[in-house]
Amino acid sequence: MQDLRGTDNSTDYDVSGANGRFNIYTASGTNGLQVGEDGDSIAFLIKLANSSEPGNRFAIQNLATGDQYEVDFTIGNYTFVILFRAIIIRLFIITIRIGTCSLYYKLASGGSWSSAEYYLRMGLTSGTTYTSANGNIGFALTNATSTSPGSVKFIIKKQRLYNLGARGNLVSDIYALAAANGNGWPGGGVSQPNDRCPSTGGASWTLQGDIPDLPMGILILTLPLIAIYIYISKHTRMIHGSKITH
Amino acid sequence: MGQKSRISARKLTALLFIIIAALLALMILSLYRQLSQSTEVRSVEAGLIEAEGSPTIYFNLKNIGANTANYTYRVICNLTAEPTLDEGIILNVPPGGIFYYTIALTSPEQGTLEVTLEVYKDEETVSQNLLFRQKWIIKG
Repeated sequence: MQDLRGTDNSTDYDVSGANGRFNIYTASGTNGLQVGEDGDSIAFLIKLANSSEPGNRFAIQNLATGDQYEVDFTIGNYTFVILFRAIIIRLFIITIRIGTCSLYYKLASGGSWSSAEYYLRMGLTSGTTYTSANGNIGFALTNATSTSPGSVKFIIKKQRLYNLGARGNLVSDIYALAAANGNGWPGGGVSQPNDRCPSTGGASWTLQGDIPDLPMGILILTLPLIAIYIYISKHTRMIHGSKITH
Repeated sequence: MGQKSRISARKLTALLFIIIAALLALMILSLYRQLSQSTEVRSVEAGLIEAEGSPTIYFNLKNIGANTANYTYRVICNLTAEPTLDEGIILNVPPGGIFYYTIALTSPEQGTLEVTLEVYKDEETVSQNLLFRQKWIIKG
C-alpha cells in the first residue's frame, strides 16, 4: 500500500459528538488514504486518527450500529462505492459485533445505484482480512492506538469491476467518507458525513496493471484449440517433409 | 509412393479438422446448454460453506428478466433475539446482472444453528413474490 497523493487534507464536520472514531488521519500534511494493487485486486485504505483517549478513537470495541466508512471512485464510465457498516447486537451480557461490506456501482454520468456485492461477517478482530465467499470483495479493520492510526481497508477484484463495466487503468474522483448513523447505502443517507477526505473533489491514481480487457474464460477455452492447431501444423509439416525427401 | 503419402496426409488433415469441428460444436452446444439452464431454470444459487468456526452461507442472484429489477432478501436465525438476522433490498440489478451475497456466521458452542434464507422479487416480502427459500441446520 502507498499513500494516495492529494489526500493530505480532510474536512472534519464533528457531527453528533464522539467524533474521534471518524477522524480521517491527515495531521501535518499526512495522507489520509492509501491505495495498492496486485495482479488481480485493488485495495483502498482509510487511515483513522490515533488518540490518547481509548474511548474516542477508531477501534472495533468502540463501533456503534451505523458507523459507516466508504470509498468512492470512478473507472471509465462507472462510479463505484465500497463501504463498511457496523451492526452491534447486544444479548444480555454478550455483544455480537457484525461488519458488513457492500459494493455499489452506477454510470458516472448519473442514474441510480445498483447493488453488486454484499458481505456480512459476524465477529470481528483487529488486523484480520475478511473475504467474501467468491473472493470479490474483502475488508480489514485495524484498531487505532495512542500512538498509531487505525484503518479500514477494502479489497476488490479487478475482474469483478471489469464485469460491472470498468475499463482502462485510470482511477479518478477517489474520496473517503466516514459517518455515524449510516444506512449502508452510498453516502450513508446522512445530510453530512463526520469526515471527508480529501475535503473537496477527489484524488486520482493510475493502475499499474489494466482492468483486464479479456475475460479469462475465453482464454481458457481457446488454449486447447491453439494446442490442437499447433499439433496439426507440426504434423502436416512432418508429412510434407518426408514427401520432399522421397 | 509420393502420391500415396500425399493422399494420406490430406486424409489425416481432413480427419483432424473434422475432430476440431466436432469439438467446437460440442463446446458451443455445452455453452448453450449451460446458458439456457442458468437463464431458464435458476435465478438464485445458494450454498453453505462449512468453514471451521465460521459457517458461511452465500447466494448468487441473477436477473433473468428483460428489465432492471429490485429484490429483497431475509436471513432468519434461531439464535438471535430478533428472528431476522439480516435483511435488505437489492437495487437495480440489470438484465443478466448478478448480485453476490455472503454471510459468515459464528458456530454455536452448543446446540444447532438454524438459518433460513428467503429471496423475494421486488421489495415486498410477501409469499407470491418468493423466489427462493432454503433452511440450513448447522451443528455446534
